[in-house]
Amino acid sequence: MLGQDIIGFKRQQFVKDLYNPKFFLNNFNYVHFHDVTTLVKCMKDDYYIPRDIIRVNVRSEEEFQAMKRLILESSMTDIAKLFLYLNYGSDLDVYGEMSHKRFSIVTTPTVYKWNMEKEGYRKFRRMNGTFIEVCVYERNFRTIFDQIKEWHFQHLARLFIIRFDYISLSTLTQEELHELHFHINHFLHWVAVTREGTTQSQSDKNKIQGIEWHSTGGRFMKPIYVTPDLHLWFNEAHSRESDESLFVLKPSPTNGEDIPFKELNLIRQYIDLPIEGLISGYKGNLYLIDYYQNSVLMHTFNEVPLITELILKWFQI
Amino acid sequence: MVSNIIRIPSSDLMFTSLCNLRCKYCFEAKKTPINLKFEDYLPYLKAGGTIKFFLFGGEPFMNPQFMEDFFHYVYNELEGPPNVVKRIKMSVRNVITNGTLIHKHIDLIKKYNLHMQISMDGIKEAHDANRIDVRGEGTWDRVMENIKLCYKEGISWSVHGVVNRQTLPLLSKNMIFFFELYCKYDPRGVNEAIRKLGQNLSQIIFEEDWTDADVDILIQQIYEVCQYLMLHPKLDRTQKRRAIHNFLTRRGGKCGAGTALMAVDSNMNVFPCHRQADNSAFDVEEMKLGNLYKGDELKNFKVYNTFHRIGVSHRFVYGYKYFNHAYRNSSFYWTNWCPSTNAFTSGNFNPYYANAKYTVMHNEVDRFITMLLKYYGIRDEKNRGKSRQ
Repeated sequence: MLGQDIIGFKRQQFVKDLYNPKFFLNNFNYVHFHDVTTLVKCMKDDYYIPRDIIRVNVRSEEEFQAMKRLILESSMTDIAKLFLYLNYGSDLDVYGEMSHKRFSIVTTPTVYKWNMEKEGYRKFRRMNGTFIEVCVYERNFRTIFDQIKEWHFQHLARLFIIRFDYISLSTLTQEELHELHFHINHFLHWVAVTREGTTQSQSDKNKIQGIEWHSTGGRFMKPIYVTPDLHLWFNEAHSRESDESLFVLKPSPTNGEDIPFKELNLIRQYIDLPIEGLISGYKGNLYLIDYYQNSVLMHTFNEVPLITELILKWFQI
Repeated sequence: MVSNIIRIPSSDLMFTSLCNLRCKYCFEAKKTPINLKFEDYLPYLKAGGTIKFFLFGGEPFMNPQFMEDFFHYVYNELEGPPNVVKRIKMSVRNVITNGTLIHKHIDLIKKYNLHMQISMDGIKEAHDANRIDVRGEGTWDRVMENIKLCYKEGISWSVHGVVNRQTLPLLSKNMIFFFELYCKYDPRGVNEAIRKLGQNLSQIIFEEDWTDADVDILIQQIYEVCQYLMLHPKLDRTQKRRAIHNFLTRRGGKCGAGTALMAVDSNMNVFPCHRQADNSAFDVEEMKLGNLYKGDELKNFKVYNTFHRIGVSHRFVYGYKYFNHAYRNSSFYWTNWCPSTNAFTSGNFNPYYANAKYTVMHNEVDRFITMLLKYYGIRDEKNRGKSRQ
């Protein structure tokens, strides 16, 4: 290298190193796979070794069996926290034999309700964790929190995953925002009462430990969603609503110099940003942040839109 | 009296989108040919909507009538508090031009004592590689003639250029050329040449696919310039040290785009930054904040808020009160704190991140500069207490 000949200067960073296909997905600590096949493929092609948090969509009994084999044959659950996103009505008995493995089930309220009425319900409850994901969008907040209560999920209250669709919520009027604030407060009080068994004042919110604030983001999270064609997206909603993915995984021996700067920058800006720089100017509860929605609303993924900031404030524990 | 105007503290006034050059790296790719008429702008000027102007194009001398009327009004008819009038008169002096039409408007320039900020990329080979006219011919000779004319007529001038991948191997020659140009054609001579080394004479375009070989070339070029200055026979020891110090620790200007500064195009549409007006990289309608005369129809608050928030967060972090974001910590040719350019290279307005390949180059060059300063025994006085990125 030319530079090495000048006053003993040695290069430390190289453009070539900006992309290395080997274990590329390990740059993210929350990897969401579209299906089990994609996870297997990424592991086989050395794009990923299981680590941190893995989330896999399971859409059929066959997929579940494949996932089960993978869990039993590998030590995946020893080193990674595994979330199986179950969106089909399943015979829950099949989970029983894997109860010693560390993994969690995520369902929608509908699927959970469907399963709850089945005989395998008790076994289902014995899982390490069963999360119920609800998405609050546009004007459905009027019913969503009430529905949760109606379904008598009190005993599972700590296992909700609440996602907010800030893009649609940003169209709310001032009056509707007040209403949303009321519903959130009401929900938080309900959780508090359910968990503690006694009525608490609003100032005692610190005692509420009833809800898991998992979403697509978070202070220590860099989530990524992988589709079968190896396209990378911020999250599942991003892949549904946008035409442009963040990046497409390229096989070896591709390196940084081979990829056009625009394509490379989309993903590198996300990888290279230090965790503390992911969200600038906000120090509160960050688990409900959605980077894709930030980029739609703010033209930048690490600036929190006003609507998000408002809701985060209401949910701050 | 006009009501409902958008008041802008500082304005990039793009009063023409016409240009007689077709520079290969120009961001104003669409170039809808339109000239702003002074009569249309006058009511806004009278209403006092802006107190600081940067005259911008296109090429400003493609709309000389506007300039004539504008300067006549500002220097002869403008009314208001004396300090404001003085400030406006000061701000309008600086004209950013490609330097090919100066000779045609020499009377206008002399009459209002304008400062010519000429875009020039360096030696003929580097300049003509990109800065060509509508016929595809190089423009270096014409620009040189006009610089000589400025010197002869006592017109204040300065040069600013850019470097891309193609002209990078010529960087040291360009810098040496600029140094000698100031020595020869600036009345203040060698002292001005040394002072100018501390400014962004040549900014490197970072919207390029930089390679590791380019990084090495840049490092080599920087070293060559330093060696030239160190071995210059006519500079004394103090001048040499000052010249090298200025060259190595140069920083970019400050920019308040989107906060204190807005761009107004020839249709009197307002944008957070001039790079978004008439630029094929952006959806103009999406970036447009509104029309200068229609303050009650402002839109695109998300664009404005993003710029504003970036500005505010930087204000807290880096202490710039009004000029909050671009060029923070911009040592050497570093300009990656420009939200608009970042949006082009990475789809993200946030100035934390620009072009990854350029970032590698910057980091390596920055390390090299630190090493060079030690090598020549020069303390980085200008940037003391400021962390390098």
